[in-house]
Formats: sequence, structure tokens, C-alpha cells
Amino acid sequence: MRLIDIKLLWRDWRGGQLNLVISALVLAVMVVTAVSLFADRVERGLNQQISSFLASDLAVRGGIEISEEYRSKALELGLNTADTASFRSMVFAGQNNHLASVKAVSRAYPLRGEIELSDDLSVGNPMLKSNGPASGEAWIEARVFNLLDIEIGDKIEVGYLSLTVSNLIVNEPDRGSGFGAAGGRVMISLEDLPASQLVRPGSRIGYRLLMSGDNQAIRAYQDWYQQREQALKKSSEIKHFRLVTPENAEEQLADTMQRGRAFLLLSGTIGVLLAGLAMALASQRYASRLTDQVALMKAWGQSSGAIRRSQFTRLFLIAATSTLIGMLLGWLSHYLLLEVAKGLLNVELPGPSSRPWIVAMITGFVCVLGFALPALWHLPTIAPLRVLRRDLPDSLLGQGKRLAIGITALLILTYWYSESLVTSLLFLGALFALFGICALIALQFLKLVQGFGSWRGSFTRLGLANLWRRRGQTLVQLVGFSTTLMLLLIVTGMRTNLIAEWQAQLPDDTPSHFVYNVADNEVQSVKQLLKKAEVGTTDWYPMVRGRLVAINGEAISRERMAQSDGLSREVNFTQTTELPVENNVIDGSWWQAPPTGLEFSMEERVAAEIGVGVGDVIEFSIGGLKFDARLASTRSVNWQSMTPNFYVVFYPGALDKYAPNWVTAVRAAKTVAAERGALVKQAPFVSSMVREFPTAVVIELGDIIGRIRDVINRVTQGLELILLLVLLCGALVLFAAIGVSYDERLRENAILRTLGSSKKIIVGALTVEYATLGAIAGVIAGAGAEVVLYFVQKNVFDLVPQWHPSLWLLGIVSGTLLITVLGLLRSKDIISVPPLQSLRQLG
Amino acid sequence: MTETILRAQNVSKHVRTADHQLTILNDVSLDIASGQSVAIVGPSGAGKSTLLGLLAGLDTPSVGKIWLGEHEITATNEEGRAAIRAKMVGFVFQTFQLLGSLTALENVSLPMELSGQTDARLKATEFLGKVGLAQRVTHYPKQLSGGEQQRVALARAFACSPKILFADEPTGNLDQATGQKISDLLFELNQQSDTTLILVTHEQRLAERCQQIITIDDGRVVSQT
Ligand SMILES: Nc1ncnc2c1ncn2[C@@H]1O[C@H](COP(=O)(O)OP(=O)(O)OP(=O)(O)O)[C@@H](O)[C@H]1O
Ligand SMILES: [Mg+2]
Repeated sequence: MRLIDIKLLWRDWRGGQLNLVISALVLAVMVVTAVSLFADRVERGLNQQISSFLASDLAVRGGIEISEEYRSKALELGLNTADTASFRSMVFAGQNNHLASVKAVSRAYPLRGEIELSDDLSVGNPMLKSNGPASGEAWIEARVFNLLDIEIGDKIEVGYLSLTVSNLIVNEPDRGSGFGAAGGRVMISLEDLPASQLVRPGSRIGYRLLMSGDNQAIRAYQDWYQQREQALKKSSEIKHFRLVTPENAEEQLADTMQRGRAFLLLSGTIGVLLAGLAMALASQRYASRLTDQVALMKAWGQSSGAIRRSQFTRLFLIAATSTLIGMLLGWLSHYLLLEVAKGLLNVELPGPSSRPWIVAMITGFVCVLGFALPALWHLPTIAPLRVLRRDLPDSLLGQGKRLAIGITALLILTYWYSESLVTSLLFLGALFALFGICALIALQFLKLVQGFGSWRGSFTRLGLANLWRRRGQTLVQLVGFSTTLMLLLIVTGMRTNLIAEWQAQLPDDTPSHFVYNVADNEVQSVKQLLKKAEVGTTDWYPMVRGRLVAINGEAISRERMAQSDGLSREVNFTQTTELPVENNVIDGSWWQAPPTGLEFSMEERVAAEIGVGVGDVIEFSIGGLKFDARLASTRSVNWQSMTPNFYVVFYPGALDKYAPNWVTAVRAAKTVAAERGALVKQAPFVSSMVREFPTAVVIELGDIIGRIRDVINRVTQGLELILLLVLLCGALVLFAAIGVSYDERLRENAILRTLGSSKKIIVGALTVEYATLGAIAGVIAGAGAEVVLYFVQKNVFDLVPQWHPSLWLLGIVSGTLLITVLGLLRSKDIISVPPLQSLRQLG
Repeated sequence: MTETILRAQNVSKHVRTADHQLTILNDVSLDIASGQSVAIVGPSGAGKSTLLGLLAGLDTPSVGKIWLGEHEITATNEEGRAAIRAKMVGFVFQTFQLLGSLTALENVSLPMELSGQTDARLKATEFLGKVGLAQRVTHYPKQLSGGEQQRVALARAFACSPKILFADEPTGNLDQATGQKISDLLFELNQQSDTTLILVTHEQRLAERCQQIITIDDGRVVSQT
């Protein structure tokens, strides 16, 4: 590296010739750094959080004690382990009793996350613990205190055990949100379990082997487990166990995360693309400024090789410094994003991995190689004769070649971001098809507009004539403007859709509680109580638990049983004449009139899993009594709807004799959700329910809903921030595109003014020119966004596609305004510099 | 007789146009002694600039041989010619060709910096003083008048102490009075530095100050005094 190269670079920078190239590069790196640092840290954080929902990184669960091989493999891989056993059992305190959800945990529990405890019923001083109760102790949830009417320090009986209640459980990491957690929680030590004598043949106990450790070991365990599962399938042994991973533990959250990351990535790529476009345009201008310099250098005897080396040195310096600055700014702005996302994650965010930094660095250098270098490539080959004959053509690298290099660079980057060649090819293919179509449409518009010019006022004619005369450049600008605008509109539209979809999943009347286990004869009184407390409910469903025992007269084999959750365990049945909300009949038909025999409807996925269809006869067993029923229909069920959902729905009458319990979802006031676990803050109806109907169970959903709402709000704010960065990239493209025709405009306007055109006419012509450009770009952008959103809505979000007149309006208005304002701003010198000076400046 | 520094032997330049072959220079032979000042004159389109470009090794003739000093530049490639140019040649142009983003001082020192001279700034300051622009060293070309810009260009050309200086219409873009001052300066610097001067010009008065005048018309040398 020679000193002179640094000097030359410094002088170019000082002259403002590098401003756009460098700002585009800095911005590209900044966007990518911010987005990938943010995504990386949040993803790692979320994984940790999901781990804490699991209380581990991985768990093996089963209805029988976890086999030794699973444990010894974990130990062999160096994983930490803990055990839990969950079951429902009556607990007693004096006269009172409660059907509790007992969880016996080993001392190491929880491996991830912490149990929030308090030794004070008003939850004055919550503390965090990362191990389970000691032998002889029990920790219980607030409502169990209430139900059993006890204080901290009192004794309760669990099976044959007598335990001292030492703490109130405010929150536990793997509490879960399903019906499994129906009874109030009583947590005891696993060491005490045998003494309780609650574990007997036939008891329904959920065992879990929890594991935690480093990523590599966890992955190794997962691989091993999969192989083992394959082997099991072949040997047709019964599958007793299931692997629980963070991904399948909290599917909805994982799903959101997946989409969020895809969105971030797409925004990042769009940012880079726009910045790349700006860079290519700016580099082209930079190159034309360098042409004289290089021709002179060659006349002075600098060899092409020396000039090429100097060029590389300079570009390397540009790339290195811009990338560093971009990384720094990106690092700072990722804190802004994190600030927005704060509170989304209960966990302390882990530091980023090295990947975002590598991604940022590669982005910087690939951008320089892909967008700046091609525009500058021809410089060393400039003929020295050019110093005498300035009309010699530059052997500029062909447009086609430059485009190909730019595309390759983008491909490398998108591949690097998405780690999928197909995705990046599709993405870029679509993008360039878009460019082509934009250019074609833009050309038609230009032709159209050019016709208007002939019968309008003088500056309108001048402005429109300018557009047409420079149609090559105009097209480049139009493609740049319209794709920028289009991408912005798409991002805006997608955001609206994302929110719409999320909100559709969580309507305002989302239930806050489930009321469960209400006896047949209590239903009327409970309804009255709820009515008095002014809380609304969804439909009431009778519910009994039962099993499927035979299909079409053939007993269900153990192999077949292993295939589906729906077969291998007791499931909840209900009966109703109305199709439950958010259920859709897929096959067969819902009952219009009472059927002749017993009939039922089944959830489609379970039906598919166990291989039954409409018309098949299934034998059910409820409480030891067996009966046959015909499958009348299959239904799809929205499991995320937070209303009671059932695999199996009978036509009314079938379940009457099995003494069903009733279940409903309740909507109580919002404020209740805030204070989890605190006894005093519970919804008023809960305490009266608990007092008057001790066997009924109330589960609070409040904090789950609050959490999801919070996620949506914060995620949208984060998206808006990223949009802002993309918008900046768009503005750069605008500046760079105007820069392409800058010298020419400067000269022309100087000549016009020397010839006596008033400033007003020149400003007027420029305004007409930019406004027309902006409006055309807006129309193309609106149309393009509409098309893209149509497919996105249809295929990605499962929404009914809708028109977006507001987006069209936004596109046209913002396109016109933005481009006119930025254009005039950029052309300030063209208008204000005295004509003589601008002529001299250009030489 | 002093030694020959520049020799052209039967040099012709043809270019292909769309429909036929155009002869820009036709069988030109020259012999120029070291330290001479030579004017190339002729009507517009005669081929003066083309000849200058060939003699300076910026371009290659279609036919013929050219020697710069002891190097036959027609026998070497562009890299070889570049090396010879770097060693021997300086330029002054009609359009000055200063770099807009560089100050006067930087413009003058640039060629010396490129060739790795360590005292580039010092020499540049010295030569800017010689051309009377000591006060304007930090000014940018756009802040200077045409005459001042050409003076910077002269300083730049002479600061490298070239053996042979090529000037293509150095006063062509200037008014008469300024042009006069520039040519005074040009000859003054030429005398001080013992440089061979090859000058293309339209102006009779400028040509007459040279020791030798070569007139070309339609690609041929028509007279040589
Ligand atoms: N590469 C080329 N291709 C086509 N024609 C050329 C080329 N180079 C020079 N010419 C033509 O050759 C002729 C001589 O050009 P040249 O620039 O040498 O003239 P000149 O004597 O310097 O004229 P002026 O005094 O106007 O500068 C001109 O007619 C020019 O158009
Ligand atoms: Mg000429």
C-alpha cells in the first residue's frame, strides 16, 4: 500500500466524490449488522426462553418411567439431567381437599429458567430458585392455599405423605397452558414420591427426563434419538416416549420467530439491494470523474498494472473503513431494536455469536466487489491518448456484464443470509423479473407522458421533453424509484397483514380463564354466579374422558396406538348440536337432524393419523363402559383459538350417562391478568367460584394473552424501525440516480439560463420532471405491491386477498412528494449556482 | 550537431471508418535535436494532434517507426511506452486538464508523487512560485482563471523536468493577452530547464518563437524550416 493511494483517496473524499458510494456502503453494512445482530441475539434469547418453558433444552416424556437407555445416553453426552413426574391427586388439609396437579421434581429441577416463589401470601417478596423443594416440603400455588384454607407453614397430605407447605409458587417455568395443568399446582420432591404410594400400576403419571447442555451435545442427543426412533419403527416395538424440543414445545412462538426472522432477512436483503443500486449508480459517476485523472496518469507513464493496484488499494480502504463504520453504526442501532423488544423476553439476552459480524463484513466487501468495482473496472484500460482526444469512447464494462456481476454479488449475499440456494434464486429471480417489468411499463408511461408535453405550458413541455430525451437515464431512475417504493409498500402491506393475522388469532374477546370440572348439577348455579360477576362465557361443553379401543370391529393394536397421540391416551369427548366456533367440516356433514344411531365427528388430523374416514365405526371406552359409534364427519379445528377444543364430538345424548363435567371459557376484565399468582389480585369471580364450587377448576389464561399481545406490539415497532433503515436506502438510490444525470443537467441549465430562461422556468421544468417521475414510479410501485401482496396474502398468510387502495394512494402521493422534494434538494446547485460558474466547473 | 532526441521515420496513420479507410497522417518523417523548440502548425483537421500523440507515444502509427531518445517506441508495447513516457515526457494541454478535486499544489505535485519523488511538495511549491502563483497554492482549479489554470499546468509539466515536453495548443483556450503571457512563461521555463519543446499551435506568433516550424496539411509535412 503506497502513501499516494491513501492521499488520492483522501482527496477524492474531500472533494465529495465518494460521499454517495461510502454512505451507500455504510448503510448496507449497517442494515445488515443491525438486523442480523438483533435477529441473532433475539433468537438465542428466545431459544433460552423456550428452554425455560421446558425448564430444559430437551426433554423425553412418557407415560411410564423413562427407560434407562435415554438417561445413560444423556449422561454419556455430558448433559445435565433432572426428572419430573406429574399426576393428578387429591390433597388434603383438615376438612378441605382439592384435586391438585402434583409435580414431583428432582433437586436439579429446573435446568433452565427459575421457579418464582414467595413465603408471603400477598407475594411481597418474590424470590427465584433454580432447584426444587427439599424432601418433606411442598410448594403450592396461590389458589390451593385458598381452596384448602391454609397458611404457609401448615401441613398438607399428599397420598400417605404429610408435607410442610414452605412456599407459594408464583410462577414455574414449564407450567404449560393446556388442560394438564388443570388442578392447582402442588410441587413436591421426587424423593418423597415412593413414600406417598401414589404411584401404582395404572396410575396416569407423566414422566419427564429433562436435559440441558451445550448446543452440540443437545444436537447429538436429538440425532441419536431420531435414529433410535427409526429403529423402533422397524422393530414395531411400542413407542412409549416422545422427544420434546423447544420447537415443538411452543409451536406458536417458534412459528412467529420463524416468520419474524424471514421478514428481518428480507428487509435486510432489500436494504442491501437498494444500497447496492445506489452504490452502482454513484460508482458510475465516480468513475466518470476519475476518467480524466486516469488518462493523465497514463500519459505520465503509469502502467495499467500500477493503476489497477492503486484502484484495488483504494477500494479496499473504502470497503474496510465503510464496513467498520457500518458495523459500528449497526451495532449501535441494534440496541435501538433491542430497546423496542425489551420486555418481550424475560431472559437476559445472550451476547451475539460471531456470525452477524462475519455476515456484515462479507456484505461490505461483496458490495464493493459487486457494485462499485464493475463500474470502475475499465479505468486502468483507458487509452492515454484520451488526454488529447477527449471524445475517445470509454471501454466501459458492458451494462450486461455489470448487471451479471451485481446479480452474482446479490446472489452470494442472499445465499449467505438465507442459507438456501433455492430461496435466494427465487427471491432474486422475482426481483429481476420485477426490474424488467418495471422498465417495460415505465417506458410505456414515458411515451404516454411525452405526448402530453406538446400541448402544455412551456416549462411543462421542457420538463417532459427532458424526461424523454434522457429516457435511458430516466428508465434507470424509474426502475430504481419504483422498485424502492414498491418494496417499501410491500413491507408496509406485509406489516399490516402480519398484524391483521395475529390480531385475528386473538380477537378482543379472547377468553381470560377456563372454567373446568363443573359438575352437571352445578352448571346452572355457576352460570348464575358468572352472570352476577358480569363475566361473559363462550359455549358450555360437557366433557368426559375416554379412549378409542377398536376400529371397525378390530381392536387397536399397540403398534397402531403408538402412531397417534389421540389413540394412546385418554382424550376429552364432548357432545353438541352446534359446530364449535372456528371448526370447519372437511368431510361428511354436520348433523342437520338427529342421526339414527350414535354418531360422532372427529378432528381431521387425528382421523388421518389413525386412518379412519366417514362411515367407519369406532368403539369407545368411557369409564370401562364400551359402545360403538359411526364417524359422521371430520373437522378442522383452530387449536390456537383459546376456546375449548375437542378431538371427538358426539351428537348429544351419547355421553349423558357418563356424568360429564362442564367446561367453558370466560372473558373477565383485562386488569386481572397483570398480577400473576398474587392471591389478592385475582379476578373477583375466581374467589367466589373457588369458595362456592370447590371442585370446579379455574385456569387463568391472562398472562399468556398479555404476552402474545405484547409480542405483537413490540414486533411491529421493531419492524417499523427496520423500515426506516430501508427507507434511508431508498433515499440514497434517489440521490444516486439524480447524480447520474447531474453534470448534464448542470450544463444544460447553465446554457438555458445564459440564454435567458428565468429561474422560475428552470425550477418549474425540474419540478414537472421530478413530479412526473415520482408519480409514474408511484403507480408502478402501487401496482407491483398489489400483485405481490395478493400472493403473499394468499399463500403466506392464508388471508383472503384484498385490494389496497390506500397503498396505491400512498405510493403515488409519497412517490411524487418524496422524489420532487429530494430531487429539487439534490438539484439545488443546478438552480442556484451562477451559470458561468457551473460552466467553468465542468470545463 | 547535437544528438537527436526524437525521430519519426515514414510514419502513417490510417483509421477505419464505416465505409472506407481514412489516412490521417501520410508518410511523415522528422528529426528533432535535443533542446530544440519545434512548432507544428497547419489548418484544423490537418493531423497535428494525431502526430503529437504518436510522437509522445500515446498512440501507435499504422506504418513507420518512432524513436524517443534511444528507445524505439514503435517496437515496444503500451507498458514499455508508459515506462519511456514516465522517464522522458511531459504534457501541456489546450484544456489545461487540471484535476478539479485537487488544489493547485496537489495538481503540480501529483505526477512527482506518482513517480515516487520524495521532494514533490517542495518542488511543486517552487514551480508554482516560478509561474507566479505562490499565493494560490491551496486554491482549487475552479477558483482560478483560465490563464492561472494554464500556469498551474505549466508548473506541473516543468516540475517533473521532462526531457521533452509536448504542448497541444497551450494558448488555444485563452484570450490573446493571457495567451501571450502563457507563451512567455512557456519559453522562459523551457530555457531554464533545457527541455525539448514540441508545440502544436494555430498562432503564427507563437510558432515564430520556435527554432523550427513544421507545417502539415492533410496528413503530410508540407514544409520544415
Ligand atoms: N480515431 C479516429 N477516427 C476517425 N477519425 C479520426 C481519428 N483520429 C483523428 N481523426 C480525424 O483525423 C483528422 C485529424 O485530426 P487531428 O485531431 O489530428 O487534427 P488537428 O490537426 O489537431 O486539428 P485541430 O487543429 O482542429 O485540433 C480529423 O479530421 C479527425 O476527425
Ligand atoms: Mg488538434
